[in-house]
Parts: sequence; structure tokens; C-alpha cells
Amino acid sequence: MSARSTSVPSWLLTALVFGVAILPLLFVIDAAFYRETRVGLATDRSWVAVIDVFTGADYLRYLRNALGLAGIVTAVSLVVGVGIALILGRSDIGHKRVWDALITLPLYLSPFAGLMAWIALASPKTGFINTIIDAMAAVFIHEPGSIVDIWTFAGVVFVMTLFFCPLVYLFTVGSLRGMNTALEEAARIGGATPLTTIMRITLPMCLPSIVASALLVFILGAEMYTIPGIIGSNAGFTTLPWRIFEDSTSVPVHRAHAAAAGTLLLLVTVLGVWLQGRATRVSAKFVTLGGKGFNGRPLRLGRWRWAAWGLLASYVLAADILPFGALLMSSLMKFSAGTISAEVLTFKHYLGFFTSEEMQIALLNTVFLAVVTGVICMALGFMISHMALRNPTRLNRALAFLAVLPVAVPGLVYGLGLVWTFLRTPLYGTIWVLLFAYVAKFLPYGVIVSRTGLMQVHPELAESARMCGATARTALAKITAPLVKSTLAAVLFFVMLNAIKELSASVLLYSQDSEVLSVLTWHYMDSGDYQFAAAIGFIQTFIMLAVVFAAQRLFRVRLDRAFGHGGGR
Amino acid sequence: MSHVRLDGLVKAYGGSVAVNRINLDIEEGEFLVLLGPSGCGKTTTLRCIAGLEDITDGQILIDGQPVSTSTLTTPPEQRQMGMVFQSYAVWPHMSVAENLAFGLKLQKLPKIEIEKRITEVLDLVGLGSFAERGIHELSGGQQQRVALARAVVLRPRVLLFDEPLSNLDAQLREHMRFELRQLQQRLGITAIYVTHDQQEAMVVADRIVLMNKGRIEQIGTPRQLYRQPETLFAAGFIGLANSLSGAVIEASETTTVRIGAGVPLTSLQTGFEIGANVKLIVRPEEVRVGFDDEDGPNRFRGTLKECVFLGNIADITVMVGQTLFRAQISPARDWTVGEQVTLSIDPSAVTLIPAI
Amino acid sequence: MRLTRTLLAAAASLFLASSAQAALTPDEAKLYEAAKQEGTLTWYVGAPLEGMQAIAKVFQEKYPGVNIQMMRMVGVAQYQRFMDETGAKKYIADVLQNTDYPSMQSLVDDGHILENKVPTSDRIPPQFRIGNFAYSQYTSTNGIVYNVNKLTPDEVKLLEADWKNVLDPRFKGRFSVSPMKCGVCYAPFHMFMDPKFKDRYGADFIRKIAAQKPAVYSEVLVTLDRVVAGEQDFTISGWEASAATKWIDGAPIRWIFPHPTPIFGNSWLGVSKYAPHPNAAKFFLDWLMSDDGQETMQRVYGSQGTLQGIKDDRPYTKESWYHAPVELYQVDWKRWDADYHKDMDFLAKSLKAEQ
Repeated sequence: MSARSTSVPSWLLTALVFGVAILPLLFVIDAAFYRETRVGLATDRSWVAVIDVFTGADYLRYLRNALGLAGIVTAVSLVVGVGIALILGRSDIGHKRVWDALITLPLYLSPFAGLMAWIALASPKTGFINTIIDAMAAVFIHEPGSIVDIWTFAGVVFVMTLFFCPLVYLFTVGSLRGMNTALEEAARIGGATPLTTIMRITLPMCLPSIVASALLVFILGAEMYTIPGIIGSNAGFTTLPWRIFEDSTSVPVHRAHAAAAGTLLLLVTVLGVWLQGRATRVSAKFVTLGGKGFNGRPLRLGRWRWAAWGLLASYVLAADILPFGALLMSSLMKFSAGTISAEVLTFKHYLGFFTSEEMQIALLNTVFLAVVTGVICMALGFMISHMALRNPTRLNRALAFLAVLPVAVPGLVYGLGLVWTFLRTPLYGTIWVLLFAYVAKFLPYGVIVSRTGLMQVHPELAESARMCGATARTALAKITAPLVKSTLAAVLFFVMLNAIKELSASVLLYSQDSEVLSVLTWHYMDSGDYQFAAAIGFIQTFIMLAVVFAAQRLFRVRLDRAFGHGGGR
Repeated sequence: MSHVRLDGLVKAYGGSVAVNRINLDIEEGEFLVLLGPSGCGKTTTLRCIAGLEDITDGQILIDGQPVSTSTLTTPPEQRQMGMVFQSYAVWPHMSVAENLAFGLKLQKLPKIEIEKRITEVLDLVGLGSFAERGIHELSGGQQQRVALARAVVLRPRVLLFDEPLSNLDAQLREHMRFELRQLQQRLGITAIYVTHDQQEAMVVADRIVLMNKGRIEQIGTPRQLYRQPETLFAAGFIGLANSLSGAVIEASETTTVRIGAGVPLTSLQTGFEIGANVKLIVRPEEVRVGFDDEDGPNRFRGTLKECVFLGNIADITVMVGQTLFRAQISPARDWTVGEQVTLSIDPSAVTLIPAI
Repeated sequence: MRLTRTLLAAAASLFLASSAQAALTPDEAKLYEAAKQEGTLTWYVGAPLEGMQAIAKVFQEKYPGVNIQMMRMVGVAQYQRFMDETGAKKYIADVLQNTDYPSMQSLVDDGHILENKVPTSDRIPPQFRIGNFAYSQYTSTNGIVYNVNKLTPDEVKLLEADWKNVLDPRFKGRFSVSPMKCGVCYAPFHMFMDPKFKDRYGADFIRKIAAQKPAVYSEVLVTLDRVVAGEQDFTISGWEASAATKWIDGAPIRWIFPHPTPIFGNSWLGVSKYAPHPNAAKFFLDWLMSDDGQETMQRVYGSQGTLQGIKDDRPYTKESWYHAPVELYQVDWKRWDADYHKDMDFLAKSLKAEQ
């Protein structure tokens, strides 16, 4: 497409991305170079924070902890997520749609709610799992002991993995289902065993999607502070995001340190995004949607059926049944208890929710923000990726890179940058600030995910439309966009879900008219009312399910077909 | 039917020049092939003509109207050209008929006219009964025909082909070449066709433009390119060639060149000075091999070094002095390696190219 | 339906208003009129939201025409947001409520708080106010919160006698502590590190606590929650107000005040100098610190008010197990400000060393 005809949108988009996404980052970086006072930043400059963070042993150890944790979580999530994707995407196991829905269910739970659920389940003395097993074991053994303990490093990895597996799964299964199986069949005919075929042909073909999901999981894992923070302190290790949380919320505040540490994480992510670019450049030749593609015969599991079934069932038990069960139980209790009895049960949290006007406003705001943010991130992410891939001028590539950067910075720090950015605009204190903040925060997903989808659509498909007399815009609307429809839907779902769960920026930017559910949940959580928070968390899950269901009907796409592939079939 | 003209066309990406000052006139109704190895700039040239790439310098004119200059690019949709892509680029989310109707609908043609044209063109490419099929139900060859039909149905001024047959299997490819040529003849449309396959080029082309490293190496009819290659590259790229070098020892009505250690080879070409270094091109099928002892111009005694039986022909190698000659003899007979043979070349079959 | 409800509410509030207004002095009535002119005020809330909402609800029912918009922002985050907004000349907050004393002190020192002598000011002890600028709404008292099913009466008695008894071997691994940097978490350690208790407690005491291998929770409310659930037998990072909310819900917990008991003024209230609704803000703050406001707070929120001479009808005070603190330890704000970070870091490091 002619560079001359797209340069105007390029500049406009760049200006927008700069104003909304990059300016807050610059404010954050700038904040690292101030002297700190007990409660904030002084007016004079200082290198102390930057030197402390970038050369001090403490912060670098926290960074190592965070990266190590993210690395382990990514590795485990990849093994489990890709494994499940292969079973559901390639094998002849039954009830695929049911499994599929169950595997993706954890996406609808906020990590903090999931953590609270697992604390209720697997605390050594009072966790439901332990008390139930104890009760059963007491018949045979006299000395009851705790079987599972969530307050450990393994516990952190476990809970985080449960949340990230669905992402890996969705990306991989989407790619698997859009893939041309003729290549696999060729390998089988060539004498390869099913396992060899999977390792040598199938997985390498899905590589762009797997790499994209690994990058996302790694970044999200490295920037998460709730789960590693709450459990980690008990297990005796500190990660950088938790330190940032402490630095920015507890007295004396270390705002410059928090900003410098945020910058450190930013640099790590820049590296990650660059590596993803390299990895996907290698696989750029894997254009799977050229026009051909047949779904081949599924792989016969045979006597492995039970192993596959066991893997799926244990995941569903750990990620759905137990946490949702515990959450439901919590939401019906007056206070935390290890055993359930009639006197601790109550329905008041739900009644409280549905009768509170504040809740209703928050609910409306949440749904409004989720839908609008989803649509904007889908459209902008697609446009930016499209420009960078199809018309890779220096400006367009820079734009795609810049738009991805905010993913790197922990929400707490980035939220501050957003505050500083919007404080000087008339938007401050309105719901529009939240909208801008959400767009800035979730646009990276729009760019990354639509990039994976677009890479699987041959550029000639749009060029042939141009030759048939379509303008660039018509070709985009009538050919390219429909072909990546399911990828676009994936962006929409993903952004909507995360917008509903978003807390760290919202809590800094909300105002009395723009309260959202996650902030309200946080207020109750922060006041120690975990049962009310559990009720809101449960309701939140239903809202997410409803929003996604509506979107699926509207787009006529299924979420499981959406991620990591551009097939519009 | 239109006339296309490239005037000093330059296309550069950053520092590297893909197309370097190309001048070309494509006549109305002509079937022109851009031929060359990969990376020679032929596809880039085609994409510039299509308007899919901006050009760096020079201009492209269609029927005398500039459509591309260094500052202006008429977008592809306004050029009324049809294009068939290497990847077929048929749209998988549409049926065959929908693929064809896409451009027609954009032209806001009446529904009846659209249907009529689609039927007509599908019949033309032999897909008469496939209109409602989904793309995934079609074979590669059928998808290729859909791509062709989609380009033709808009009745373009110029038809562009970007290696359209390279994804098909050998037999189908050979068949489609003739079909493409027939179709173009029937429609009388100007066609520009990019390929790296010289056989394909020879089958379809009125004229071939041989490109190398962003420049035009030679333009001519297939016969001219084969018979009178102007450069060593042209000789080597199109058909097989014995490529030799030597110095002119006699220049009168004919030119005689001494190659290697004393083998004198005479050509009917003139215009070379004595002592000049030249390259010589001899097509293998012009090298005759026999067993007689007669002397004469361009007759040498040699030893048979190698023989490959290819069914209709035998591909043999003969050593004359220090020089190896490759010959293709038809019909094939049994040759024995090590035999003494006589080799003869008609002077009219020896092409001389000045050595640079 | 909605209309009927609104009408009923209006009628009810009219009735209430007339009865309340009767009690207002002429000055107060004038202020109420001015507040009604402004119609609304924004309260930056630092204490747990639910309790404060209940208090605001009572106020709005008594004084219709003044609508309270609440925005919850905790501690230093509130300070920063207020300062950022002030720097950008975005004046939103009217009344500030901050749980971090030094933050409020800074605001007063830097002239961001309006001088505002509440009518009851002479009944508020000096340690619970900053001149005539800011006032502590209630006190926080630190104690040991325990699960009734997990400690024997003897053990309760032992712990109540002296903080030192947490070092008894029988309590090893049975309690929890939070090194979170917050006022209520710091208060007991602030006392332990007091130079005058150097021999009684001091750094050595903290090291010995760590050697008891308590469970460490980064979030102090998780510490309480784990005692409620029975996961931990008791916590030394407990304070009355938070334990009381759970006790009211029926949780099997109680609390005791080992001697001496740290006490400090919490919930610091002040009117922003840039308040867009200064009259409404003043009127609301006056009420919060009045007998009515303080008693309302005690009733619906359960903490002890700072205003002297008010009725104390906190529900748990009548329980037989409840023993009001005997020997109070008033925190020293100067040392608090200076040593907070150092002391809490020392606690965190000591705990980590034993893990």
C-alpha cells in the first residue's frame, strides 16, 4: 500500500499513542530522578534512587526473584497449557466444547480472588482440603497433619500457573485449529511417530503463537505483585513488584525508588518484546492462511486416553471447581472459618450488593468501560499492527513498539504516571480518565495479539482486493479484517476481561462518579472484609461470562477459536 | 488493451536498489514476460506497475498517462489492472462466485450483469459448475483458475501475473501455460507476466525482458533471446550453452577465435578486431558429433568423456585439446566413453560476445 | 415506586431535620445554611469504607441538603493524590481523613489545612489534635487478638500479664505478626523500641519474637483473618477496631490488652485550605467531633472516640472477657516520625533471619 496515503493516520496514531501511553511512562522515568521526602518527592533532583535500584544488591535480587518466578511460571504454564491444547486441539478426546469452557474459566476470576480462594483451601491448619483430609484420615491415623500448604514458593508458582495456563492454551489451540494438517500427514507418511510429528512439525508450526503467549505470561508474571507479595512474605522471598508496591504505598514512601524499579522492569520488557520480534521474524514465513487448509483426522489416544483425561480433570479441579467452590463458600460466610456450620452462613453480602446504589453505579461503569476499552483496543491494536506489518516504515514500526511498552510497567507505577499526565487535563476526575488509562494499559495486548493473527494472513490477499478496485480502506474492512475476525474477537474478549479486573490504575484514578467494581472490591478487601469481597468477586465472574457470551453471539466467533490464528472459517 | 511504458523506473528500499533505471514499452495486446533469477527486480517492477509499490524515480505511464512518478502514486484500485498472485490470494472466507463478484460490486454493476459476467468467465476458465463452492473445497489448480477468473472478470486494461504457476505441480504447470496464453490471445489483453522459469517464458511470451540485478539484460522474442544472446548471462539463463572464451586471430567476412590451447572456432559474426578477447556461445544441440575424418572449419577430433542417456536425446561431453564441449544429440544412440569422435559446429551457430 | 420512596425519605428527613436543627446554636444554624447553599462536599476517606459510610449516612439523614461524596484513599496515597491535585490546581477534596499522622502533620505544617476550631476543641486532649487544624477522630489501641477455640484461659491470662510472655516456649509457632508498614502495625514496635523500655523490651525482645517463629503476613488484615479462621492461635499485630468488626459479625475471637497498651490518635481529620465547599466541610467536621458525631462513630464503627466525656456504648465493653486497657502508652510522634522506617525494617529483617 502506498506509504503516501497512510502517513496521516500514522502521525495521528503516533501522537495518540504518545500522549496516552508514552507520556505517563516518561513521567515515571522522570520521577526516578528526584530526591525523596518522607511522603513523596522533593523538588530537587537526585541520582540516589536510580543508583540504589540499578546497582544496589537488594533491588537486583528482587528483580532476579521476580524474573526467576516468572520464568518458572512461564515454563510450567507452557508445558501444561500446550499439553492441554494438543489434547483438545488434536486428539480424539470427547466433549471438547465442555472441556474447552472449563479450561478457560480461570480467565474470569481475578487473581486476587483466586488467591483468597486457595488460601481458604490450602492453608496448612484450616484449609478446607486439609481439614477434610484430616477428618477422613483421623479414622485411620491419630496424628493429623497438613497435606497441602499454599504458603510456600511452590504455592505461589501453583496459583500463578493456574491463572496463566488458559492464556497459553488459547493461543496454542487457536493456532492448532487454524493449521494446515497436510504437513502433519506428510510427516506421518514419511514414517514419523505421532510424538515425533508433534515435536518436529506441529509445535514448530504454532511457534509464533506459543512465543507470543510465553511473552505475555512472562511479562504478566514478572509484574504481578498480589500473589507473590501476599504468599511470598510468608515463604520468605520478595519480588520486585511487591517491593514497588511497598515503596509506593507505605510510609516512608519511596516514590523515586518505585519509579526507578518500574523503569528497570520496563527495560526487561523491552528486551522481551525485542526477543519476540526476533522469534516471530524467524517464523514469518509460516503463513498458514494462504488459501489452503484441511482439518485432518484427530490423533487416536488409545490407552493414553486415561492419562489425557486425568490431566484435564486435575486442571479443572484445581483451577475451577476448588477455587470457585471456595469462593462461593467464602461469599456465603460471615467470616473466615476452616469448617462450615450453620451459624457462620449468611446471604447478606449478596443482598448488600444488589441493594446498594453505589454498587449499581460501579457495575454500570465497569461494563461501559470494559466494552468501550475492548472495542478501542481492538481497533487501534489492529490498525497499528497492520501498519507495522504491511507498511513497515520507520514511523510505523516505532509506533507498534511504543504502543507495546506500557505492558512492562507495573500498574501501580504506571498509574502514577497516568495521574501526572491527566492531572493537567480537564478530563481529570471523570470516567474518561479511566477509559484513557485502560486503553493505554491494554493496547499492548491489542497490538501483540492482532500481530499474531495478521502474520498468518498473506499480504497478497489484501493486495488482490486492491487490484480488484478496492481502496486501501475497503480492502482492510472487507478482506483483511474479516480474515482476522477471530483474532480481533480474541483481543476484544481479552481486553474486556482484563478491564473488568483492572485495579492498580483504577484505584489511583477513580473519582466519586467513576467508581468501578474492582475498586469497590479492593476497598472491602483492604478493610479486611474478604467475605464481601468474595461475593463481589463471584458476581464479577458472572458479569465477565455474560459480557463474553454476548460478544461471542454478536461476533459469531468462539473464544477457543479466536486466539493465535487468523482463520475466518 | 493498453500501452504501458516504464521510463527510467527506479525502486530503492533504503540503500539497496531493487530496480535500476528500467526503460520499457509494452505494446497493446502484447504478452510480455519479465524473466530473471530471484532477486533480479522483476516482481518489484510488476508491483510498481500495479501500484502496490511507490517508485523512487522515473515514471510509469499507461496509455500516455503517468500513474507513478517519484512524488505521485495512483493507487492500484484506480489503474484498472487485473493481477494474479503467486499465492493465488483467493479469499477463503468467500465462495468462488463471491470472490469474482467482489470487484464487480465495487463497480456498482447491476446484479444481472454481475451474474452474467461471472458465468461467462467461469466457463472461460473451465469452472462453470463451481460458482457456489467454498474455496477450501477446491484443488490448487482450481484455486489458480479462480484467481485468474477474478482478475479477468473486471475486464482490466492490463493483466499482471506474478509467478502464477509456481505453486502448481509440474504437469498442471505445463498445461496451464498454454491455457493462459490462449486466454490472453482470446481476450486480446495486454499482459505482463513475471517468472523465473525460462521454459514457461518461452511458451507464453511475445517478448521476453530478461532482468538481472535490477537491470534489463536483454529484450527480445524468445527466439532472439535464444539465438542471439547479447550477454553471457542471457546465454546462460536461457537454455544450455557452451560458454568459451578466447582471442580473435582472424577477422574478415568471418571471425575466427582461438580458444584454449589452439582450437580455432569460426563464427559468421563480424566486427571484431584481431587480438580482441571475446566470449563464445555454442548451444549444445548445435554441436554435431560423428566418426568421419574429414577436415574443415570448426571440425575437431576429440575424446568422448561422458554420456548421459535422456531418452529422446543423449547429453554427451567431448574433450577437444583442453576444452570440454557439451553436445545434445537426437536421436540418442549408444556411445562408449573413451571413443574418438569428430565434433563439428556450424559457424552460424557460434555467437560472439565482446569480453569486458 | 422510586418516586414514593423518595417522597417518603424526604418526609422522614424533614421530620428528623426539624428535630436536629432545634439543637443547633445560632452560629451552627448559620453554618448549616451556608453548607446547604453549597449542597455537597467531598470526603477523602482513609479509614475502612463501610464504617465511614454508616457515619456519613447518619449525618445526611440529620442534616438534609448536604450530600457527602466519599472517595477512599488510604494513608500516604491520599496525601500524594491531594498534593498532586493541589499542585495542578485541581481542588476536589473538602474534608481529609488520613490514618497516617505524619502525613497530616506535613499538610498542616505546609499550610494546606484550614484553621478551624471545632466547638468541642477544649474537650479534645492535645495529643489528639494538631493545634486548631486537624483532629483525631478515634484512638487505636493495640492488643493481642486470639481465637477463643485455640487458647486456654490460663494462656489468655499469661499473655494479658505482659507482652513478654509471648516468648513463652508454649507459644512457639502459634502466633502471627505483620511487618507491614502501617500505623497500627508499627505502634507496638514503636513502644518496644522506646529507649525507656530498653531493658524491658528493646531490639533483643524483637529478635526473640522472631525466634518464636511466628507466621509472617505482609498484609496485616490477613493476619487477623487467619486468627478468625483458626489458622493461627493469636496475633500480636492486632488492634481493637478491626477485631471488633469481626467480633460483631460473630467471629470466634477476643482481644486482650497486655500492659502497657499502645494507644494513638487515628483518623486525622482536617478541612482542605482549597476546599470548594468550605462551609459544608466545616459543618461536617464540627459534627464529626461533636458529642453526637463521636457517639455515632462509636456505635456504628466501634472505635473509641477522642472527645472526652462522651457516653461509651461500644457493644463489647460489657462482655465479661473484656478488660479495658489499664496502663496506656501514648506514642511519641516525634520519635515515630524519625524511627518508623528503621524500626520496621529491623522487624522485617529479624523475622526474615529466622525463616
